[in-house]
Amino acid sequence: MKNNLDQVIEKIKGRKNIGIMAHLVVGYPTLSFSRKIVIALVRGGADIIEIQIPFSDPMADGHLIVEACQQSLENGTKIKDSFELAKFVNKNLKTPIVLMTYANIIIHMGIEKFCIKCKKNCISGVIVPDLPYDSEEGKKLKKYTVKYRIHFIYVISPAIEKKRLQEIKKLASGFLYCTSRQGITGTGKQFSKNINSYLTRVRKNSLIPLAVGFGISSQKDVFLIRKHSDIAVAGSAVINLIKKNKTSKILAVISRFIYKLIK
Amino acid sequence: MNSKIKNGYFNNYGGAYVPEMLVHALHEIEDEFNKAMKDKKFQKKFSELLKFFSGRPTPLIFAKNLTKHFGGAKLYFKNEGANHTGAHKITHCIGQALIARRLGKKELIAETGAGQHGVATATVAAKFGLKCKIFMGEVDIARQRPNVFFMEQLGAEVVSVSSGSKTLKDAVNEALKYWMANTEESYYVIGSVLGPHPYPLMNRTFQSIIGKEIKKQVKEKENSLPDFIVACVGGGSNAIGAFYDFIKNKRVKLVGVEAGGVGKKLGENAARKENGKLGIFQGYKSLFLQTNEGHIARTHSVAAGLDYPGMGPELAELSKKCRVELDSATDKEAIKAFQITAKFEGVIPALESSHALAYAYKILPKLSKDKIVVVNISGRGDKDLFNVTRAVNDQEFKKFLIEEIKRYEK
Repeated sequence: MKNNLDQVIEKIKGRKNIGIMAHLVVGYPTLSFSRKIVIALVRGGADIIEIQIPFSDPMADGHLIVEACQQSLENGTKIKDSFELAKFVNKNLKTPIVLMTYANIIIHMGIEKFCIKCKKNCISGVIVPDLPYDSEEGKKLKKYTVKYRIHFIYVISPAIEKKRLQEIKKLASGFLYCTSRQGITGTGKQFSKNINSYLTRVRKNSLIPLAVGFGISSQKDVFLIRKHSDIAVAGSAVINLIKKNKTSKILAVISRFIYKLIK
Repeated sequence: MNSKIKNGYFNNYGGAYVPEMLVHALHEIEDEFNKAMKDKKFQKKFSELLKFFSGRPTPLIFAKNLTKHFGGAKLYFKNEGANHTGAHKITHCIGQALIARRLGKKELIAETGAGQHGVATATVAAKFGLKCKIFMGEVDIARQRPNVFFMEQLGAEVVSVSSGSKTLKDAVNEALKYWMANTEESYYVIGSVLGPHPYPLMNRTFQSIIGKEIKKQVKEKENSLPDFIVACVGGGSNAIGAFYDFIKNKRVKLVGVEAGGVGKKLGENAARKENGKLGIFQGYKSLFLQTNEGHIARTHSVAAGLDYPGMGPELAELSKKCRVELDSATDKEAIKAFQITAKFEGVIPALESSHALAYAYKILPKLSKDKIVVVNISGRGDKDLFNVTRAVNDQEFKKFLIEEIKRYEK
């Protein structure tokens, strides 16, 4: 099964620099601004866009993303807005979209219905950090993502058990999202001490591309992981720039930030 | 009929819905818990601590005056408020701290709403010589200062949580997040029969002592089984603890009483029976109060311990099977039950437990005199001093507070 995400990853593998997946929370700081943010991220050089459907209680996220989700929900952002944004990106930019959200949003909507909506709105992959691959719903989501040709992208971390890593590698599709450390999203914390051996262990006997996320906020961070991975994920760092800068400066600042990560 | 657990599920409810990075920590706890259950030394240590530290068995009190007052069924109180730290919570804290110690953990962490579970965890941490961190919503810290003070006296660090509604569910979120980054050193003492497997099973196992004692004590006094067991349900630890030993005795009616709050609308109560929908949150699948987009809804109850959007998975399953009946009592009914119980029986119940009492006072007059109703009083009401004085608008207490500030400033 291949979709436009695979094509982009093939391109990344064929070039010198690793790819960048840039993240945003839909509706933060406002819904209309989300479109401009995506354009700015792509202009800066993002290869993949990860859009997060804001959820009331994002359990794997640090305070920057939690606050962004809260503000977005207070602005009145609805789930359909995320799908509409995905459609907009696909129509205007062709950049592959990965949709990230939490299990309850999907369960509440219905797993198949969610996958159909993803398909209709040209979403290439889904990330659901609190839905284990071997849970009943995890298996069901896998089944329907296969049916609708979407990648169910698993998130793993340094403390993963051997047996589970083997199973996940077998089932993985799109890429594996490897967190750089135990803990939650956010800037300013160090990568796991064993990050290299961890990524090597994940790589071994597997062709699945690897993305590394959590705590990536500079070219130096990208440099540290580029040998053992294909994609670096910039999440909280982008949110931080949106939060800290004047509205008139945000777009230029985040474009430059993405550009500098790989150049 | 018994709610059997399979792969961490009570039929359709339960499971372990956590980021991959917590899976190993949960497996570690599950394995250690299973080993401990087969270990006589563990059982002995647990029983000893319950007896000599917590003060079990807790008494079963015949509420003679209220039985006469309502003129119907016989009323008994299972007084869990007689436990050390004033509620049933200490039982699963002792059990979990023993597991944490077997795992070689250095720190206990916990969430707390009103502060009861936080105080119980901090108490056990002090007793066992472990570090302790308690996560508590900013709003709860502001309204439950006495418990914050006690936790700090017990050596715990109280971490203020300022995200979301700044109450119990947000404290759980933050505790989970801290734990994700610190699984090697820290053990998360979850305060109810919820969260990912094995917590619902483990805490129910520890709390089932309540039902075992009720069975024995009612047998001693009445030479029969009770007809009703009534308990309040937030997450459900005191309820499932009181119910579990009776699940197979089908003639014993089991009633869980939820927080009816101030109204029927979403956000005005914490009654999952009417408004709860199947969902996945904070590591488990169960009934949750949620919005029409699947966000977790805000809740309300005068009793902080019931002010939570989800219900323990085993109770959700027992309720679905109609083995446990769920009902609710409003804030006002709970306050009234609090007052009646104190006045007639000399027992000051927690506002949480007062919900169960309010239900009992509705059904007692309708039942015949040979019936036996046991209400589990999950905790004592000292902690609710400020809430109740405010709710009944006690002018003398208000005066006292003003004077107290003056004394402070001298």
